[in-house]
Amino acid sequence: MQSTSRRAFLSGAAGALGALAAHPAGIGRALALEQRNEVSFLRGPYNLAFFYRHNLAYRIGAGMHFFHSKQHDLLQLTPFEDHAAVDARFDKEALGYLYEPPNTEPEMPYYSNYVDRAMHTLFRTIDWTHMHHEQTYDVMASRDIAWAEKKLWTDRTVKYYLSMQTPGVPRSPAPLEITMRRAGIMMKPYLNYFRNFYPRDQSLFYVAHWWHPAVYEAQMLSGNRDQELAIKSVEDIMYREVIPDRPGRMVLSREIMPRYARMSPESANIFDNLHMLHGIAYSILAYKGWSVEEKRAEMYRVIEAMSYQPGDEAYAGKFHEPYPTYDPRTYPGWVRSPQGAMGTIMMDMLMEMLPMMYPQGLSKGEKAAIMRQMMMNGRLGIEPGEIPGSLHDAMMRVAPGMRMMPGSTEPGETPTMMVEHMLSAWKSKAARIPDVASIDMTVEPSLGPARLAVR
Amino acid sequence: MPKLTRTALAALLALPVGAALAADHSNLEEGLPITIEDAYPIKENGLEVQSYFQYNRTRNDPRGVSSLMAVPRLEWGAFKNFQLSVEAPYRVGTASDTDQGEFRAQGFYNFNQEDLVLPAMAVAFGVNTPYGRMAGGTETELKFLATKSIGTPDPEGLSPYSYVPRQIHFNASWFHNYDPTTGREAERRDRYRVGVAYSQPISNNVVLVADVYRETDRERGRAVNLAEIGARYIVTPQTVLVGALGVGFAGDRRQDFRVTAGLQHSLSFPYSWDPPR
Repeated sequence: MQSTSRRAFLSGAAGALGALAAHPAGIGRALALEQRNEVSFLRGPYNLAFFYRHNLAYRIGAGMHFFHSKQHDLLQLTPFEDHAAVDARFDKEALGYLYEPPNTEPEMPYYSNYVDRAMHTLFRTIDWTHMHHEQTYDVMASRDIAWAEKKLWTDRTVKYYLSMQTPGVPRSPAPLEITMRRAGIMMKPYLNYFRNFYPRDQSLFYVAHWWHPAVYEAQMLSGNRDQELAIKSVEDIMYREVIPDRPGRMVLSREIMPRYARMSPESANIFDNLHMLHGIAYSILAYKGWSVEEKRAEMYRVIEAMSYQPGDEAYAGKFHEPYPTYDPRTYPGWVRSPQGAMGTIMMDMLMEMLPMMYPQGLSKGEKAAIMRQMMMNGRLGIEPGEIPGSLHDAMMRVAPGMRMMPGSTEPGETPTMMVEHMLSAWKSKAARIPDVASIDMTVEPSLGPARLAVR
Repeated sequence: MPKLTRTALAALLALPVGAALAADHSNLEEGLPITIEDAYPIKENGLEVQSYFQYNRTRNDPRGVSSLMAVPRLEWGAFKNFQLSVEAPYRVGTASDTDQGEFRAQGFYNFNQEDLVLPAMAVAFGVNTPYGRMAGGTETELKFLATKSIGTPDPEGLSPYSYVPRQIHFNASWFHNYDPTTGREAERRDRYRVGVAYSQPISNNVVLVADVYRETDRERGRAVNLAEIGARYIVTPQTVLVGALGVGFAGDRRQDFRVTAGLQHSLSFPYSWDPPR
C-alpha cells in the first residue's frame, strides 16, 4: 500500500512538472528570460494614512485600477473587429467598479494575466509608479507629518522611486514635452487607436486622469485639518458631473493639480508620464497589425524612452500652468474640453516634424488638411471626415510625398533623426522657459469656499 | 507557564505591531494556508511577519492524536528576486511529535518571471534545527519550485475575473538529516516532499488555493499525504488572513485531517529618516 501510493504520487508529480516545463519552444525562449525584479514600498510612519483617512477615495482609486488592469488583456485577447461591442460592454462593467468600489487596490497582473506574462516590464513599470502614487497620497494624508514637512517627505519618496528599481522602470521626472519627443510615436501605426476605437473606455480613463490629481489638489487646498471635507467634495463632483460628462482629453497635472505640481514638479511629471504610457500601451495592445512579440518590442522601446534618464531633473520645472488657481471641487468647461495642454504638446511636435517630413514644403491646403486630421485623430472616436487609422496614414492621404526614415514606424524602432531634431528644438525653447514657481509650504492652508478658475 | 500559552505567545510575538503596503494575497507562502507555494519571493525591501496555527489530527500514534503547531515567521526581501526567512515553529498536544519545535532559516531565489511559454522557477535552501523533547537531527532542505498559468476559459472577457491568474504550482524538496536518531523511533537520513497546488482569485480580495502533496516523515514508515483547500483574504493593503482544511489519504498517512489559520502582514517599520528641520 505504502509503496503503491508513493510511486503513484511521484509519477503524478513528475508528470505535472513535465507539463509545466515541456514545450517545443521552451528551450529557445529560455534565453530570453525576464526577471521579476519587484521592489517593495518605502516604509514610513505615513504608510496607509490615505487608506484609513480617506477610505472611499482610496477605494475609488482601487476601482479604477480594476478596469485599468483588465483593459490590457481585454484589448489583447478580444478581436479588434468587436471593438464597439467590447467598448460598450466594458464601460458598463468598469462603471460598476466605480459605484461599488473594491476594498483593496489590485496590482496590474491580478486582472490581466496574459499581458503580465507577455510583457511583464509594462506591469512592473505601472505598479512601481502606482506605489509612488500611494506613497505621496499617504504623505499628504498623514496628520503626523507637519504641513511644512510634506515636501521633504514627498522628495524622499521621489528619491526612492527613482533609485530603487532597475534603470528604465521609473518614469521620468521631466515633463511630457521631453518624454513624448523621446518616445517618437507620432507616426507609429497604432497612434491613438484606443482613443479612436474604444472611446467610452478611453473617456473613463480621462475621468481617472482627472481624479488622481484632483485628490492631490484637494489635499493641497485643505491642509492637514480639512482634507475630509475637500475630498468629499471631489468624490461628489466626480459622481455628479465628471462621470456623466467626461473630459474629452487626458488632463495634465499642471492643469488639475497646479499647487501640488509647484510643490513637487518631479512627482507631478512622473504621474503625467505614467498616464501617457497607459494611453500608448492601450493603443499598442489594441492595434491589430502586430504580433504580441512585436507589440512587446514596441512597448519596451516606449517604456525605455519615457523612463528616468540622468539629467532629467534639470527639466522638471519647465512647464507653464494655465490655471494656477484651479479648485478641484469645480468642473469648468476647460476641464471637459478636448483641447488642452496635451494637445498643445502634440501640435508643437508636429510643427517641428513637418519641415523634416516635407522638405519640399507644403501648400496651405495640405497644411490645413494635416492640421484638421491631427485634431480629429486626437479626439475621441472617429469623426465625419476623419481618415480612420493612424495619423501617418491620414497624412499620406491628404499630403502625399512624406519622407520618413526607413523602418522607423516598425515595432521597436525609433525614428532617431526625428527624435534628435525635436529634442534639440525643445531644449532651445526650454532654455527660455522659467522654472515653475515653487509653492510656500510654511503656511498651512485652510479650506475656503469653492471657486471657479478661469484664465 | 502552560505549554499552550507559551505556544500562543510565540505566535503572537510575530503578529503585526502597527500600521504597516502590499501583503500580496496572490503570492503564496508555505503554510499560509496550504503547504505548496508559488515560485515568487516577496519584493525587495519588503519585510513581513507571518504567523499561523495548524491543528493536526494524527492516526496510529501510540502517544496521542492531537498536535497544534504555532509558527511565527519573519520574511525579508533581501535583494531583488531573493528572500530570507526565519521561523520557529513549536508543537503542543498529545501526539508523539509534540513538546518540540524547530529553528528554520531559508533563502529563496526566483530565476524568472513566467512568460507565455516558460513557468516561473525558483530554488530555496534551508536549515532546520529541532529542539525540545526527543528532538531529531539537523536537516537541510533543497527545494525546487515552479509556477505556470493555465490561461482563461473566457477570452471574451465577459466576467470581471476572466483574465485573473489561474496557476498551477509545483514544489519538490529533498531533506537530508545530518544526525538521524536511531533506535525505536529511528529517523530517515533522506526524505522528500513533492506536491502540486492550484490558485485562482475568486474576488478582488480572495484567492482560492488547493494542493495535494506527499512528504515522507522524519520517522521511518510514516508520511504526510494531504489534500488541502483554503483561501487567502486581503483585509487591508498590508494584511492577509488565511485559512484551510486538509484531509489525509493513503494507508501510510500520518494525519486524518488538518486545520490551518494564520495571517501575514507587511511592516511599515523600521524606517530611518528624519527630515532636516
